[in-house]
Amino acid sequence: MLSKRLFCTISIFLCALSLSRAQDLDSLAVGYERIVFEGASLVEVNDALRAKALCYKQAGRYKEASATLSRVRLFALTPEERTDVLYQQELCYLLDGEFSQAASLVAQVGDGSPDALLLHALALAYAGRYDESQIYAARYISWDGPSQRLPSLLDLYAAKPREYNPTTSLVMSFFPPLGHLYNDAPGEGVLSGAMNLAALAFTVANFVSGYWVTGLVGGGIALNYTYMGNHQRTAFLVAKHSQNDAVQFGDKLRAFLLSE
Amino acid sequence: MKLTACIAAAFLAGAVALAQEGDRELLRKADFCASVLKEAPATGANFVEKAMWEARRQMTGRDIYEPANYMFLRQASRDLGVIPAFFALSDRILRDTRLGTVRAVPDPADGLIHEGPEAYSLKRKDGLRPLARDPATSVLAISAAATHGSGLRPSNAGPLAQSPASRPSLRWVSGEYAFTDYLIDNDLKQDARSLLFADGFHPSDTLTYLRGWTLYQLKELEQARSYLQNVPRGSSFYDKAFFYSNAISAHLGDYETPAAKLKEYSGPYVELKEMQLAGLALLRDDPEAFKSAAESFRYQDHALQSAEHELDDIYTSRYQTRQKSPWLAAAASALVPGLGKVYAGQLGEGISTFLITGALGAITAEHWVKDGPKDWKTIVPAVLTGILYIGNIYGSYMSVSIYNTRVGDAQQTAVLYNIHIPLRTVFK
Repeated sequence: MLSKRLFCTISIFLCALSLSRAQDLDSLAVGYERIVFEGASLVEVNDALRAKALCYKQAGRYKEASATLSRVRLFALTPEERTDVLYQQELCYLLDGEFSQAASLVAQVGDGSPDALLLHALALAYAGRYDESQIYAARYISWDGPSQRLPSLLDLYAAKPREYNPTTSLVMSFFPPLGHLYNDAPGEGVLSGAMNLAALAFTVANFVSGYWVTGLVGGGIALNYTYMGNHQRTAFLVAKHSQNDAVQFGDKLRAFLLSE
Repeated sequence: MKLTACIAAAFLAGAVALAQEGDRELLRKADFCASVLKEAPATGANFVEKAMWEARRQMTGRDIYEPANYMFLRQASRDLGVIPAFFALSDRILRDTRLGTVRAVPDPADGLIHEGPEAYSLKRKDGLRPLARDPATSVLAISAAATHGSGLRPSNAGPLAQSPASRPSLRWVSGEYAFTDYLIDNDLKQDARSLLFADGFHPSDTLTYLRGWTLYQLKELEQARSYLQNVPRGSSFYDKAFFYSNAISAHLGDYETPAAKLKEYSGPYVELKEMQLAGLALLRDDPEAFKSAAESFRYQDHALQSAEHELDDIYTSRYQTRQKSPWLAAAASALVPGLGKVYAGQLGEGISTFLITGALGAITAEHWVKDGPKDWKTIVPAVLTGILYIGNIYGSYMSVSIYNTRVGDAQQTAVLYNIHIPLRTVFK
């Protein structure tokens, strides 16, 4: 049962939300923490933690908000409250740029509201899980019935970023500059290919001319740098593409879904 | 009560609804630029440096050192001079391998080894220097993290706390001890700061102490020291604040002021006073002052005996043990490339240096035998070998100096640790 004290602090919280002043929100956060400190029941503690997390969220301190929500004792909540806490946590993770963590909460939050569907679509898109994201995005815009925006959404997903397979990239990089070309970096590929070719030519030319030591040692060192560097570079390019493309696509999807 | 609960629940639901109405706006405003991986050459790089950066990306995929080698030459030329800069760069290239960096400790924030031209300057020439430290990784930070919950006790309110001339709307901070302790103990230090720095408290020694203690936990050392130094003599927090402020001063590189204050101290913690004085003497590189202070060590107080032994050991190691010779390292590297590095304790760097210099030497020898000494195919690798060979000697000389500096720095850190950590036990 909620106490009078909690009732008062919630009232204060509502006032502060309307004021939106960071200093008020800080003070309120401390006030809620005091309720946790003195809390007689799990209900009071959970309510205070949830309210405190909202303070942090309003103040733009998403990391602290998600950390506060993770202190909520979920077992003491009703299913609706539990869903709301997890929803807020997913939202805070997403706003904090922790896309994988946000996406990991999708199944737990469920899909009982348009807000949840919107959040899942975005979290999964930013995490690079486009196919799953598309399902939630389509359900979101069709929440109130068939939507005329569905074809546009499908067009958007049809232009989703290419997925770069790290294994394929690794195999291609055994034959420079194919790894670079696979990663859509033709300029870098030409440079890498030229460097590898020069190192190989240096090695072969020395062997043919009878300079065994120079060919073995000098060529070995040069190829070690150019060939192994080519492997490392392509591995980095895969990671870079996956991350940056997902953020770019997520931004486009966000603009589309929120443009209604 | 049921009515109250219903109203409260309605308000809570309203709060949640109000917050969720703002969620879309938050999503709309969110900026995820920081999540994008970006690559760019160092700021201010010229055309040649940019080209080297591009080549470097294709050859190793990453930089190990910061500043990267392609930016190092320019900075080293400015700081060390052109010729030493070339040799320093040569030494760096010899070390810039997986083997050469096996014992290096990268910065956890970016995974890079931060080593500029200053690594090739002889820092110990003018004696020990104060350590410029990052509070987040310092011994003080470790201690602050370890003292959660150990320092807050209700006080016998000091003279300021008993002042009757207080505004009626203000409250005393004494009632917040347990809560402040809870906040710090649960890593909610920002909340503790919000609580203590909000208006509404009577000025008191307790408030000054609690503010200083909270700032200390937040690693805001300059401000923490200011507050702790202002705790008045009559306060029950005075001794603790006094010794902690001395430790903070030492940590911030000020050794003279706390030493002078300690000499005037006449409280009950006499042995602790002498222990801090001995530590400060070591930090100031003053062996006579250390011997004078160490005469008071009794090695019997369990809170202090370990620190006293440690300080004795540091004194012995620093003033009674022979240091490694840079000249011997240089001579060893002249004899066998990389041997001086091994002597300096850098086995990986030594092997890396030996392999690269040896490989170039072997190439030179092959061409010398087959083409003669005047052929360009001999001259080019010979010049490269010569530069790397001299760089190896220069680097070995410096590595011993760097080694000695590192040993000195480690000792300074150990001294700071030992004049600070025992405070946790003493004032528990």
